[in-house]
Formats: sequence, C-alpha cells, structure tokens
Amino acid sequence: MKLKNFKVKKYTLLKLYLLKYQAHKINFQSSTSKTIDYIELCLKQALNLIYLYHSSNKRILFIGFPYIKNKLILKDSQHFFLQKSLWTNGLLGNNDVSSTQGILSMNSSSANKTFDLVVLFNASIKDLPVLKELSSIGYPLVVLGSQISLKSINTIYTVPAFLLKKNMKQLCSFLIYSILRKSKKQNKLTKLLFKKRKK
Amino acid sequence: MITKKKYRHKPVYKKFVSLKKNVQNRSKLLKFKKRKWQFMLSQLTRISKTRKNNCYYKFYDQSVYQVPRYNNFFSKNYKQNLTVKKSFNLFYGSLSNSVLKKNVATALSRSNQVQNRINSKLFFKELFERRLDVVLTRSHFTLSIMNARQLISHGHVFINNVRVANASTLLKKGDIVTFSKKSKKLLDYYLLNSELWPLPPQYLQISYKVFQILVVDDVKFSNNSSAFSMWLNLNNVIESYKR
Repeated sequence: MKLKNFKVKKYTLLKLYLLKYQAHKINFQSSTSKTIDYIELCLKQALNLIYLYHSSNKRILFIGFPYIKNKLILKDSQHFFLQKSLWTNGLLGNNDVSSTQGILSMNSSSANKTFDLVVLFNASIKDLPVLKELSSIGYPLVVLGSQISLKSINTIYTVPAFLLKKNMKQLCSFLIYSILRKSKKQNKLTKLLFKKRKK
Repeated sequence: MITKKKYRHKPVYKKFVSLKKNVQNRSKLLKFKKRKWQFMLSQLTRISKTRKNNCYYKFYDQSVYQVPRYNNFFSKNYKQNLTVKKSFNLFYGSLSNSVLKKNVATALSRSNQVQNRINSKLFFKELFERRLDVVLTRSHFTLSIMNARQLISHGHVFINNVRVANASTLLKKGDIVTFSKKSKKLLDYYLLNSELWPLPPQYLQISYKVFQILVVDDVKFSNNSSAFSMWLNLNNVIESYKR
C-alpha cells in the first residue's frame, strides 16, 4: 500500500500576535484554561467551520465586523456584514419581512433568504439580547472573542479571548477576508457533507 | 421439562413507536412507506408543524432546569418516567441497566465530593459523552453508536497507539484516537453518508484528512447542546436509577 505524506504547517505568527495584544487577559473567571495555545486552537476551529460553510456556498451573517471598503471581496459570495449599531430586536426572530428588508437589503438582492451560520465578533454585555435571540431561534452561532461567560447561550464555537484592541480587530478581519477571498473549489468531503442537510 | 424462553427480536425502529419520538434522529425512518409506520410518521410531522417557521435548528441544553408546559398528573407519572428511561437508554445505544446504575452512583458520589457541590447532572452527562463510541459518532466517523461499537470490537480503533476493544472506555483530555489502515474505506463511506448536523463539539479537534480525533478540553462544562435531538430529562433518569 502506498502511503501519503501530509505536510504539517506550523504557523507561529498568529500565536505571537495573540501574545502581543494580550488576548488571553479576560475579566471573567471560568473553569476552562485560557492559555494562548487554547485560544489559538479555538480560533482555528472556528475559522475552519467558516471556510467549510463558505466553500459549500452557504450564507453567513457577520455581526460586528469592521466595514469593508473594498467590495470586490464579496462580489460572488452571498454573505452579509451587519454593524452592531444597526441591530434591532426581532430582526431575525420575527417573521415580518418588512422590518428585515430595510436593513438586510442594503447590499444583497436576496433579503428574504435565511442565513446558515451567524458569526458574532467580540461579545460584550451589550450584545446579550442579540445572543439570546439568536440562540432561541436556533441559528448555529460562532462567537469570536467573548468578554462574558456564555453558559446559558447555545453556541457552537466560542473563542474566549480579548479581541477589542484595534490591531486585534484588524487581524481577525484580515483572517476572515482571506478565507472569503479563496475560490470556492469544493472538496469531495464538503460537497457531500452538505448534500443531505435538512432544515 | 425445561423450555427455552423464546426471545423475539424487536427492531430498533419499532422501539421508537411507543416513545413517539425519533430518538436516534434517523433519517431512514422518514422514508418508510408501509402502513404500520403511518401512525408514527403522522405524529412526527405534527410535531414539526408546531415549530416556528423561521426556526432553523433546535438546541436542547441539558443543564438547564425545564418547567413543563402542562401539569404533571400523578396518574401519568409512572408512564412518563418509563418513557424517559427508555428514550435515554436508546439515545446512548441501548445500554444495560447495570451500567446505568453504576454511572448514576459514580455521578452522585463525585458531586458530593466537590466542595461547592456541582450538580450531579453534569457529572452524569460527562460519563456518557466521554465514552469512545459516543465520541466516534459525535465526530461523524460513524453513522450511529451501534456502528461505532462494531468498529471498536473488530479492533480498528486505537487510543494513543494502543488498540482498544472496549467501547465504554472513557477518554481524557489529551487523548488521540486513530484508526487502522484497513478501516479507511469504511470510514470514507460513513463520512460521505453522514449529515453535518449536529456539528462536532468544541472539545474535539478532528482532522478528516488524517482520520484523527484529539480531545482538547474537558467535557463537563462545555456546551454541546446541539448534539441532543430531544430533552433527556436527566433529573428523572438519575432518580429512577438511584436505587
């Protein structure tokens, strides 16, 4: 039998940036250890999930990410970037289309379409109504950077890190844009994993 | 005269009929066309209609205290407890009574040992979620728990490069689960036929390229509410297996 050799790439730059901007310093106490290795691992898990959804033509809602000036990046994708200030209660939870059309149809033509994944950047106490609404509806939620304990909220992946600093914000947004810029060449696995999904 | 007790085999899907739930979340059940399944299928569709239209998925957080929608009548108490017990047993691949009793006893003793008294539900859930066969199904390497048990008993699964034949082995933080070369084709088939939902929990790091699972975090406090397809009512289960 022929064996394949897989190259394991070790990126140390991300860990360095996390150390530099002190991402591991969070206020709240919890049982899980928040070492930089753990934060890096969580970040990679979350980014991998975003990549899987993006490559299989799914729609992602990004909340709280910095505004992109260069719209060329999102030319082909159906993703939507929402600012936190524009959030109103019942935006996704209510069936009423007229309320959502105003905000969600600014860029995209298909406003009525539901999202497959929601990514929230830097959850704080102010974002609790957003989180509660999303978890009650049952959207798969990924939280990048949280300053509060999210025990009562049903999330899939949470990155327990302090990402409020300006440079850290930029780094995270660059990481995501680099994923979204990638071509949607589907793997054999991603093609078939999403084939049978049911609502 | 000695007579042998005849054991009548009951298929797994038949067990769901009395529970009125698709306990193991099997999609095959929805395709059955014979008349005997019609009653159950109509009930399942009725339940799905009562959900909100914009509801995407349902999360069942087992650590939360649930208040029942309707009053619990004393006359229905026995039936309710029985269905809860049965559905929990089926959800984890029909375990024996002795295993369940043992796990309840350990969970209760551990919760008493801790100074701040953590809820025994968390310990109880952890004892099942750390099992090897459960981890294999959560990571989508197998389609069901019974499937995983067969793979383990045939000697295809390794923990830290040591072959394991027992499906009930508990994984710890830092353990690596690998598979034999012979099982690669089978795993490919399982992976391609599985649905992505529920997404693998955060405490597992999985590479589908190398077929490897790494346990990264403790299971006890992690929120894996998407993995459950129904409300398990762990308090009732613990009380019923307490004796």
